[in-house]
Order: sequence, then C-alpha cells, then structure tokens
Amino acid sequence: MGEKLNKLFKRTLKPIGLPRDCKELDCGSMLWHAASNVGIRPVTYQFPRRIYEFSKSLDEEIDTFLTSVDCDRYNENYFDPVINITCNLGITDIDRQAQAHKRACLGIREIQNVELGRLRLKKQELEEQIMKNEQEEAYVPERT
Amino acid sequence: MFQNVHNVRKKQNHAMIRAEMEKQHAGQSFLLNPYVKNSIIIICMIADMATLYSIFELQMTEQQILTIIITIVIAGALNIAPVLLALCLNDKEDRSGLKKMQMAAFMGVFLILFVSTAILRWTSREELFASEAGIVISGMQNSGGGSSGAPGTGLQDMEPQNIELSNINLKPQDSSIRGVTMAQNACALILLLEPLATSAVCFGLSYEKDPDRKRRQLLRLQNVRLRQQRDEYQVQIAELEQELAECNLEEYDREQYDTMRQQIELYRQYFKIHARRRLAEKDGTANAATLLLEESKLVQAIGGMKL
Repeated sequence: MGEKLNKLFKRTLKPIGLPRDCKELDCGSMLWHAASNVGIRPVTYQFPRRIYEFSKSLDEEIDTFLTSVDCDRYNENYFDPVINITCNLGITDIDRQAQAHKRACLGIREIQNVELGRLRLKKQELEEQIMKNEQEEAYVPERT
Repeated sequence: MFQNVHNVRKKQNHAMIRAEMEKQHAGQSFLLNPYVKNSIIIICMIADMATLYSIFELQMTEQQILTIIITIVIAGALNIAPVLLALCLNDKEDRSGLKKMQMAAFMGVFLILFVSTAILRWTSREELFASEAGIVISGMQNSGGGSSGAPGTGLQDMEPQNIELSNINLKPQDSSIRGVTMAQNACALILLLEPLATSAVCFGLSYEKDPDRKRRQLLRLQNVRLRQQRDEYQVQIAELEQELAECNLEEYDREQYDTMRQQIELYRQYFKIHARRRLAEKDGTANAATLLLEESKLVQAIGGMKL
C-alpha cells in the first residue's frame, strides 16, 4: 500500500503538486505527505518569467526608441502591441500550468481515496482483533 | 485544528492505558513486575556463578577462560531450568506427552547439575581454607639444616628464590585445625545449598498459581492498546473524509488561476500607461501628469513594483 502511494505521489505530484507551505518536493516533504494526506493542494501559479523580464527591459526599449526616432510627436499606443503579445504569452504560460494542475488535483484525490481505503481497512482489522480478544477474554474461566 | 484534536485524543488514550495498567498492577506484588522478576533471576545467576567458580577453579585444570565459560553455562542452566519448568507448569491446558517430557528433561538437567555441584563442593571442602591453614615456609621449618636454606639462617636473611612454600597435612589432634574443619563443613553446606536456594527463588518467581488471571489481564491490556490505535485511525479517517467533503480542489485551483490572470491584466495596463506616460513626457504634453497619477495607482495595485 505504501509503495503504491509513493508511486502515485511521484507520478502525480512531482511535476507540480506541492503541499501548503512547501517550497519544493523533497524526500522529507514526500514522506510527510505520505503520513498525512490532509491539506494537499496544487502549487500556486508561477508568475510568468517572460513578463518579469519584459518589465525590466521596457524602460530600456522606450529609451532606445526615443533616441533613435527623430520626430516631434509619437503615437501614444506605439508599445501596446508588444505589451499585448508579451502578456498574452504569459497567459498561455499559466494556462499550461492550469492543465498540469488539473492532473494534480485528480492525483491528490486518488491519493486521498487510496489512503482512506487503507485507513478503513486497518480500522476494520483492529476492530476484528478487539472483538476476538473480548471473546477470548470471556472464554478464559474466572477462578477465585 | 485537526492536529489539536489528534493530540488531545492521543493524550486521552495514553492516560487511559496508564490508568488501566495501574489498575492491573494495583493488586499485584511488585515481584510480579517483569523487570523486577528478571533482575532477581539475573542476580541469582550471578550469585551462582560466584559460588560455583570457586569450586571449578579449584578442581579444573583447563584455561581460566574455559573455567569461566563452564561456570556461566552451569549457573545459567541451574536457574533457567526451574524457570522453564515453572512455565511448563503454568500452562495447565497443555498436558501432552511432549510437555511432560520437557518438564522431566528440565527437572533432570537441574537435578544432575545440582547433585554434581553439591558433590564437588562437599568433596572439596577440605581445601576450602587450605591457603590459610596449610602453608608453611620451608626456610623456617628446616632452619636446623634443610637443603634449601643455610643452617641457622633466618627468613629475613634468605634470598627470595630460596624461600619455598609447601603444604603440610592437617593433624586432627591440633585443636585449632579441628575448628577450621568445622567451619569448612558449615561453609561447604551453605555454599552447597546456595544454588538450590537461588533455583527455588527463580522457580517461585516464575510459577503462577492462576495463569488465567494473567492471560485475562494481558488480553485487556492488548485491547486497550488496540482501541487506542483504532481511535487514531478513526481521527485520521474523519480528517480525510472532511477534507474530501469540504475541500474542492478544482475550485481552489480556479481561484489561484484567476488571481494570477488578474495580476497579468494589471501588469498589462501598467505597462501601457507607463509607456504612454514616457512618450507624453517626451512630447511635453499636459496628459503626462494625468498618466503619471494613473500609473502610481496601478503600481499600488500590482504590489508596489516600479520599472
């Protein structure tokens, strides 16, 4: 059962699924997860790197444009197309992440269901053992 | 919250087990405590080892390590055999031929070893005090003209290599030696009976008048532990069921996605206004001041980042 859980874990959570307050999926967090399957969530979305890079280079591009073009008036929407393209690509990035997150959600549910089944089975075994012990205890003759 | 509930439940279970164990131990002698019982058995074995080693050291000519090993084995057998015999007797349900043979074997081993060591002890009782009563210094005894010492030479004048030790026979007419023999007999008797006493102690500790009572107690204790484990599983199951019922992962993920999407849209607006403002500044139009104000609002909205 434990092995099955680990396999599931690796298959479904390794690429994207991380527990709350967990920065990366190392061995320790995997073990922690295997022990407690409550509160597993997909990781939060990563801010697209291309937008971050663009934000750093935008001023530079504007300066280059202003120095290279010699005219009195500019089209104020001149940079809009490039901004739109960059932001749309960023949205595509998080759409890709969303696809992976959907798989992760299914995986998390599967892990939780498997774990729930395991716990119920264990509980049932223990109840049977308790019952057996009580019967045996009643069978042992009382001597005074 | 779940962790707190879990911890409280765990503490309650531990307290319940402790109370149950205390209740069960309340009516029992402390000698029935397994730690005390095992410690006493080990002490008995050590006492037997010390007693038997003195005989074996006297009688055996093997290496000392072999003597020690033999002593340990025999002392162990003398105390373990009664314990095993008592355990066989405790099992009142099983009285098969095999069980009887086992009991006879334990009894036989004990009797053979005890009788043998008793005989050894009794026959070697004369040498028990030999080191104190039977040693004379030949230089003093033969001071009139012996082969080893020069005539008329005192002990303090002799060379160390010329001093010899020899045993003399104990004479029964000597009253002081007769007293030592009595002591030897008494001492031999005490040391002879010592393994028997320790074996009896071990047997007494292991034999139980009512093994059913112990069995019932064990079953009760085991049940308490099993219930504790079951309750722990129950808590985990409740946590997981609640998680499955209440937590909609898809919805959670959708919220995360929407938040990120909104953030990207805010950046888009911010980038556009920033670019327009820079261009308006270059143009020198009044619109630049309005755009600057709008830009600063967006900077606050996206978390304070500024290009």
